[in-house]
Amino acid sequence: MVSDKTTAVTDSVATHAEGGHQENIGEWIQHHIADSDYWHLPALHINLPKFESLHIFGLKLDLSISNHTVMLWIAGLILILLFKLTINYRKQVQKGFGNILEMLVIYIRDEVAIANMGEKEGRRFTPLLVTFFMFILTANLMGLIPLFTTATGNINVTAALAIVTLGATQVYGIKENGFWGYYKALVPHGVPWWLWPLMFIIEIMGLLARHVALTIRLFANMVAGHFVLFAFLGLIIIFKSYFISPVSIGFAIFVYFLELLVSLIQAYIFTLLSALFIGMSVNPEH
Amino acid sequence: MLELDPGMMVWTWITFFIVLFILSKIALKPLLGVVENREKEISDNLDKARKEREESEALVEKHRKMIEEAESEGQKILKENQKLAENARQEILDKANQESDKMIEKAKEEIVRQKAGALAELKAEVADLAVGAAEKIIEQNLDKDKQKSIVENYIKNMSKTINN
Repeated sequence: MVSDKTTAVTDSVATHAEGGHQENIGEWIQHHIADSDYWHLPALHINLPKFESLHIFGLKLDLSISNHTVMLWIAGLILILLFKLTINYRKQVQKGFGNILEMLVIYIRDEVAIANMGEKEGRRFTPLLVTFFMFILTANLMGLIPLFTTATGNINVTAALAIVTLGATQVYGIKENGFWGYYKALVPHGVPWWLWPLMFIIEIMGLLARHVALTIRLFANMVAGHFVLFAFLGLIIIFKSYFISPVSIGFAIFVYFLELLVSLIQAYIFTLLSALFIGMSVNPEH
Repeated sequence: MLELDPGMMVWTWITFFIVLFILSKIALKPLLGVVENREKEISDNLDKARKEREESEALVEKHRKMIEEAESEGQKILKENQKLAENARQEILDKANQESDKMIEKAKEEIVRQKAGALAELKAEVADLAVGAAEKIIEQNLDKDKQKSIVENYIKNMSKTINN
């Protein structure tokens, strides 16, 4: 009985694993986290549409709808519906869930946007930052719900979001300070003129590194939680024993709750750092 | 896991910007407007309340002063009236005393006058009586004028003794 079940589980693992020749927990976990071209629901296996790759400037652009794309759409849809249905825009005071959303929006406006960008710019960028926060938070939390996958565990998604921040820093920095003014302000004051070329390159690298760090931070946090979660569950299969399951499941549940916290914290950190970077480029130090 | 997939990035941008656009159009702009209105209203109400409290405090202070003033005014009037009453009493008393003194004086004068008149009448009466009595007693023929002068002399002497 026991061995039957374990072989059934290992079989399913083996079929999921690449090539299907050997049970491999590592591949199983990687497979779970990786993007795919289908969405597997109970009693329903949806194959997502594939398109011909486009070739622009020698870059292969594959616009096929992937699993994570669908997750992002669902996250966006959930967000829009939440804001549309729970908030009564004709009333001055919200009730229930609308009140929570309003609290989050006010918090981001006051403590993230205005605190890091100043009064005027803070109010201007509040919609962007609220969308960052809510969108990332929803995508993070969706990854913790069975049947959904973690779109923010895909480095392309986090990179795209970080590039939005990067684009905002450049576009609004240049808009506010002028092209030369903005890039001149990158180099800190008091640097001797002969160090300028070097400092300029270093500052540009720092600018890019900040956003790469933004990308990696969100991606790695989301992936790491899932790795640990599945590693604990995988212990059952590795040991081929039921007796390890209380420990596995206990730790998995613990990690699950930790992941809830991490989802919130990472969404917040991404938003906060975006606000900081945009604030830095819009109001450069003199 | 770390492979680059520009298609995914493009889809992320499309999704994110559509969500950003719709969310800020239908939700965030109206919500922030509502919140700002509410904050403005709250701060306006607070300011108004503060101003009204200051006003009412000033009014209370004014009323307190007015009451104090009225009290001291009343005290002053009371004191004045007391003084006036005292003065009037004293005056009336003085007047009455004077009146009574005057009356006493008058009465004394009257008495003196009456006494003098009575004395004069008495003298005349006494003189007549004495003359009559002397006529009856002596029964002699005496010159009437001479007798009278004798008697008058006598009475003059007598009146001196009575006055004393």
